[in-house]
Amino acid sequence: MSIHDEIQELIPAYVLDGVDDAGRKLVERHLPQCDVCTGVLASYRPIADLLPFAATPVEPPADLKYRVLAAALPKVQPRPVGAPGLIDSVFAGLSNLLRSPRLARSPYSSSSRWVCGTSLCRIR
Amino acid sequence: MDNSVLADEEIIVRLRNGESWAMAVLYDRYARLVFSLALRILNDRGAAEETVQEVFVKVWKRSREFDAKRGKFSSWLTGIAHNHAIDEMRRRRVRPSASENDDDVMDAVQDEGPAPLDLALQSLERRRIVDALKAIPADQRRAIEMAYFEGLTQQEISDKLAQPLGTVKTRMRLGMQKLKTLLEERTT
Repeated sequence: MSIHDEIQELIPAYVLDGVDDAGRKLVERHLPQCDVCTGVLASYRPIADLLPFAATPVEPPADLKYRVLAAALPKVQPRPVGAPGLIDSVFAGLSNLLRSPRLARSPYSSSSRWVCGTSLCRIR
Repeated sequence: MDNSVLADEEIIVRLRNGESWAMAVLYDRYARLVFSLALRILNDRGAAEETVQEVFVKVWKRSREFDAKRGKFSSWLTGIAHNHAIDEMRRRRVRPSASENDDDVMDAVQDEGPAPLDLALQSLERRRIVDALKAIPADQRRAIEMAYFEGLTQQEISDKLAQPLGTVKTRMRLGMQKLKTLLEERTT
């Protein structure tokens, strides 16, 4: 069996992350120097790209969006409850964030008030 | 202009430019996919929520690493999500799920309802892969799902199923070959 045969036998499992470390290293050492095996790998990639869609669709909780944006964007902070007169322009900066019907419906309750900072949601 | 109609690649450019609305658009577009994948792998809603958070933080921090010439954004994103969820599953050693008949998961499933364009496109992708998976023999499908959703190597699958390693390798290889053919046929 040639090295190409060996690699091409491993590739279907490799794209699924189903080979052990030795097999993975073997594939990854070989691919940069072999266009044929790289082409075979590319032909299996669409399967790995589609497999996530096979998971049964489940809606995440509505408040997760706030947590994700707060974690990802430094300027998104919890809005202090009862903060005096936050100006309309600050809320205007939220308009894009609030496009989603899910977010628009989301609780502007006391426990989940978030607002962008003064730079109107520019990431720093 | 409605930013939600922009292509993923354009949104990533905006994200790199520091426009935070881009993150919200990507979240709206893909949070359900990432959450569903993480839940399938981890079988734990709390862990799946943490995965979503970690994945989108990574997208924000690593947005400059995305190269549209190397593939679609959704592939890059789900690759990050898959790696993170599998690592987390191994760390937590929660019981693997990977079964659509799992009561815990099925209880949480909500109706998809009328879908906007993004959800409709994702539904089409789901239909393609689900139909293809259904069309291959069950033992081949099981080997593929155990590798992808349970993070098991061929040797680990062999041990778990008490089947020879060669049998597992053959099932996985044949199943993947058939999936490839089926998906190519349905693309053309």
